[in-house]
Amino acid sequence: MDAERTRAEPPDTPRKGQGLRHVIVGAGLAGHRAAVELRRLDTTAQVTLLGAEPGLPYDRPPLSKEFLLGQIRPEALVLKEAADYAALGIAHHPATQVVEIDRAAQRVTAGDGRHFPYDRLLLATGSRPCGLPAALAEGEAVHLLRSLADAERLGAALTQARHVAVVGGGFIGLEVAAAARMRGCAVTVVEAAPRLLARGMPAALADWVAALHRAEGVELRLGACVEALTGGGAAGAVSLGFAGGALQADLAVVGIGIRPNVELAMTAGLPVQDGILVDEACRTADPLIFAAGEVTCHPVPALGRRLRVESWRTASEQPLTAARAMCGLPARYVELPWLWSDQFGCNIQSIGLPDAGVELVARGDVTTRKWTLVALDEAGRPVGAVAVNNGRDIGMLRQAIRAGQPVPRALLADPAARIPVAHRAEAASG
Amino acid sequence: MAEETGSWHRMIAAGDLPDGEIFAAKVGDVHVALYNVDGAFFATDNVCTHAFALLSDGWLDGTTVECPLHGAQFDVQTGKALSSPAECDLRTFPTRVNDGQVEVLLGE
Repeated sequence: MDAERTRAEPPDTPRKGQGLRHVIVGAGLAGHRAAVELRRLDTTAQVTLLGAEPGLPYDRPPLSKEFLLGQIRPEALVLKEAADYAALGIAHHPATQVVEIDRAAQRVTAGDGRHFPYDRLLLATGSRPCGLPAALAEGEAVHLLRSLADAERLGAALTQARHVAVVGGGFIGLEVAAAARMRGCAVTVVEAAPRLLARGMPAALADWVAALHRAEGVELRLGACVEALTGGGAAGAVSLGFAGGALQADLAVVGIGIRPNVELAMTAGLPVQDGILVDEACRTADPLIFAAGEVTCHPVPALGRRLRVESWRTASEQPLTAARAMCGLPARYVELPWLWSDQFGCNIQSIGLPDAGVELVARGDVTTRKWTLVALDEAGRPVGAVAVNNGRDIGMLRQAIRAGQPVPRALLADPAARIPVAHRAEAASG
Repeated sequence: MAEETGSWHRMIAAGDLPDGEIFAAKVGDVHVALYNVDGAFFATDNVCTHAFALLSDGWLDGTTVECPLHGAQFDVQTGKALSSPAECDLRTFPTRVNDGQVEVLLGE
C-alpha cells in the first residue's frame, strides 16, 4: 500500500498517516462502513475506529434469526473487510468506550483515559435496547438482544428452554419468537398494545403476522402490559405477571424497542432531538463533527420531515454519505426508511411511512402469503408501503414514493401492474 | 467475460419477454435470470449472492436488478454487486437471439 511507495511525494501532499485524522466513535455496521469508505476516498487520512464491544465489527440481523437457530457461527458474522483493517490502514480499537468529546481541543477520551485527537469526528453510536424498569424485571433468565454476546447467551439458554416468554410484539420480539418456536420451544408473546407491530405498521400487517405466528403455534397475549417479571437464579424460571394474567417460562426475552445512544453528543452540547440532529450531508451543528446510522435524526426530503430510522439499511448506507462529507466531497443522503424482517420463512418489508397515509390500497389478497399494502396521502401520493413475500413491489414503490406524484388507485390495486416512473431524476432531489 | 466455451441454451422467444421483465430458467443445477433491458438481453445467475432468493422475483430498473429479500442490487450487464448487503458479484452469461429465440451460453 502507500507506505511501501518509494517515489517521493510532493511536499504538500500528505502521505498515509499524515493526512486528516478521521475518528469514528462506534464500531457497528455504520462505523465500519464509514471507515472503509473514508479509506477508499482518502488514502492519506488516518482512520481510527473506536468500538465499545470486543472483537471485530459484525452483522446484527442474523442474531435474531439464523444465529439463534445455530445455523451460523460467530466468525461468519464478521463484516467483510473488517478482517483487513491492518492492510487497509484502519486503526481499530475494540473494547474502547468513548466517554467524552472535547470539542475545543478536538479530541475524544476513552473510559481508560486514552485520548484520540481528531480533525473530523463521526458519531456512529447506534442504539441500545430498552429494558423493562429495573423494579419490574431482574434475574439471569431475563434476556435482551442487541449484541453478539446477548445472542450467544440467549442461544445457549434456548437449547435448554422448553417455554419461552417474549415481552414485546415488535419485529425483534417476533423474530425471536419465530426462532424459539423453530427450535421446538413453546412460545408466548406478551404485548402491551392491543395488536402486534403497533408502532409504525398498518393493522392489516399486524393481523397477518398474528395469524402466521398462531398457525405456527405461538401463543399471543395482546393488550397485556407486563407488571412484574422475575428471573430467579442462573437457571431459574421466570414468572411473568401482566394485565389479565400470569405465566411461568424458562426464560424471557424483552424486546420493547431501542433508544439511540445520544448521550455523548448531548453532553458535548450538540443538538439532539430524538436522535442526533444532522443535515442531508450528515453534519451536526459542529462543522467538524458528523453523525450517521441509527443514532441520527435526519431529513427525509421525499416525505418532507426528519426521522430517526431504526434499520440496518440506514446503518449501511448513511455512513457512505458521511464519509464523503468528511472528505469535503458533495454528499446528500435522501433515502427513504426501509426495513425487512424474516419470520418463519416469510419476508416482510416496509418502505417509507406505511402508517402515515389516509388510505391503504392492497395489491393482491391480504389473506394470502403474498401481497403489498400501499399508503396514500390526501392527494393520492404513495407515502409508504408494506410487502409480504413481495419484495419486488418495494423497489417499484420506492421510486413512486420519491417521485411524489399521485398514482391511480386502479393501477396500484393491480398486482401485476408496473407503476411508470417518468421523472425519477427530479424526484431524487425531493 | 469468460471464454465462449459451453453450449447455447434456448430460453424464451424474444417477443415473449417484455422490456423491464425477468425470465427465470433452471438448466441442470444452474439458476439463470434473463433480463430484457430496452430490447437488449442479459443473463446472470438467478440466485442472490447474499441470501437464497431468486432475482427473477425482484425488481429490474434499467440495468439494475434488486433482490426481493433484502434489497441487494446488481448490474445485470456485468454482474457487479452495487449495494450492500451483497458482497459478491453475480456470474454473467453471454446471450444471443437466434431464430427469434433468446439463447444463453452456459459453461460445461
